[in-house]
Amino acid sequence: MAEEVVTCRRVSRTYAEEAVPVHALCRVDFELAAGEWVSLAGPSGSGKSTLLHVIGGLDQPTEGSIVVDGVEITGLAAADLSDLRLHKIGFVFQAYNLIPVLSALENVEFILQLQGVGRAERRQRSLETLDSLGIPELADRRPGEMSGGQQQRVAIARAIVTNPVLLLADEPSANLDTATTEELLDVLRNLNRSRGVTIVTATHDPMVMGYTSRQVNLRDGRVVTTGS
Amino acid sequence: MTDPRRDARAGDTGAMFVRVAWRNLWRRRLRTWMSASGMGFAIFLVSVSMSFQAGSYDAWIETATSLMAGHLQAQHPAYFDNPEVRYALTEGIALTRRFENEPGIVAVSPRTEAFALVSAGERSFGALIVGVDRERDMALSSLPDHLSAGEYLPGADSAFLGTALAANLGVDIGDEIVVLGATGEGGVAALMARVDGLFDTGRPELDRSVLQVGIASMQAGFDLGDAVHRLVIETRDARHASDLKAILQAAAPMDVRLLDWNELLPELEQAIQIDRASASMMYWLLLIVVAMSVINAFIMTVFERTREFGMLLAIGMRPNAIVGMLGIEAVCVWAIGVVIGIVLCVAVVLPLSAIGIDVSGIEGMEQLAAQLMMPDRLYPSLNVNVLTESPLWMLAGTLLGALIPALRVRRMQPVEALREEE
Repeated sequence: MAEEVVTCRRVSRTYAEEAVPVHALCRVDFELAAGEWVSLAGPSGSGKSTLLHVIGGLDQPTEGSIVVDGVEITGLAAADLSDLRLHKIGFVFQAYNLIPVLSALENVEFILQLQGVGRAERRQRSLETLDSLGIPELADRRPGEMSGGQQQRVAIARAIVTNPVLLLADEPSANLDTATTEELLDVLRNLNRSRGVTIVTATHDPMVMGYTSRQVNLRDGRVVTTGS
Repeated sequence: MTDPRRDARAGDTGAMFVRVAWRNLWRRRLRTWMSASGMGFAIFLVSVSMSFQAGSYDAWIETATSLMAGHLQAQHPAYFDNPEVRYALTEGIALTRRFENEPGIVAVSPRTEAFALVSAGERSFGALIVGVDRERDMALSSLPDHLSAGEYLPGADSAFLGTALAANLGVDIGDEIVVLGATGEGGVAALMARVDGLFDTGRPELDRSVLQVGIASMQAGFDLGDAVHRLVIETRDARHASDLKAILQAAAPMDVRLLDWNELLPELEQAIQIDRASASMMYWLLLIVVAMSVINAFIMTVFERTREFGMLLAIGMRPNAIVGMLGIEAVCVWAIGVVIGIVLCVAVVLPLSAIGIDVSGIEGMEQLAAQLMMPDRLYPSLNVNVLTESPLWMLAGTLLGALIPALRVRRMQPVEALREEE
């Protein structure tokens, strides 16, 4: 059996800052094996993005335990969470979120720079990653000079160039048309199958769900069904 | 031990941050130019004002020191606090020759001094009698330049006195005066002199109380031998007189005390300090205004780029690194401002420092100029202080102005920041 990359046990997230506390996640149990591609599905407000965020260490659960790649991340200090995100997790956002003043190559290099990778290795790995995603010609273009689909591919390149144990994608196709979404999903499938990248996608797009190996449905912060 | 590869990577990361920060500045060109220009204009104003201040202080110092005090003086250790005839430098002439050969010294003039009664006919007035070496004193004192009648000490028994003192005594050129005082041992000192010259400095306290005679005549009359009370020294640059004083003092005999113009003319130093303090108020206000505008610009920046910062936090960048990057952006704006300000300042001040500005016609300056014996033309002075002080204060203000809003990044939660609209 494949090693578990993520294990969530009775994870809850309550936003108590509101007048009426909002229970975004209620005692969620969730496991993710290495090499899986799981989609977290559900309507808006179901808790899929919140689950993605707590797994990625962007938010802390109010209760429960989350283990990522053998590290219990609940209660970790902010600096340790930063390191975890930098070295073990890749993020792909709905709005691409590239650094607008850097070229595609520099955007990909930037995260390696944060890891302290030397110049030559950084450049080589970044170019190889852009090449593997079929976008070497975008290396010198800035985000403003690229289409949405191209930007999302660069965002994926940035997310995987560090060889993370886990790739988290939050509504990666929300701003893309159908054809571009299909291209993007092919890229993710290729990464998952050929490189064994473990992926969690929060989505309500049926096309995305069709590509994933497993689907976890959430409603009102609870896991309601899980299936292939 | 340092790891060279780690240092190289740190330098590499710094270079990347600088590149990102520099490019970020040009995302809002107008705002960047406005901030940098505001800073540059403030630096220009403060630096130009400081150059005029420095120029006027140089003029004050030169005018005040050249009249009597000089840049430095050597005295008996007790004379400054207790100016009695007996506290004299016994080897005055030898010391004069020794100091004349020191590097950085332009001229040395020995002087004797005593408070005495000056009489002419039925009238008598107290005065400060100063014995001077005519040639040496002319090389460093501007008092002979204020000659209003007669000649400056043409003979061994000549006297040169203020017009007010002459009027009080009822004497004119060619008249005889008698000086009666006390020697260092308490005996009677007396000398006769002929009024050969009068001076009018425009300073009543000087014109009514100072009388100069030949040093040999005074040493004989006051039984001083070769002793002198002051060795008045002119240095190459009054601003470095304190440094030279320390060097000379270290090498001087035990019974010689060196004093610089700050100590000799404390009122001049105080006047400069007061003027500096009042000008500093204006500089501070200006810097605060600019710092406020920097705060405003960076508040806008932080709000506009909240989602971007959220993304940077999400991919693992530390909040302090983001704050540092914003700091670099602030320093870049400051650097542009410094270039603008300093180029403008040099362009304006450099020609003026050569040709000067005629201040005689400026309303209110006439009285001040007369009081301080300032020249009609003011020459602004460019020096390291002028060119670095305001940029450095501005850097502090800029960093403070930028870091206050940037610290908001430290409190940012990545998830909340990522939800922000662009």
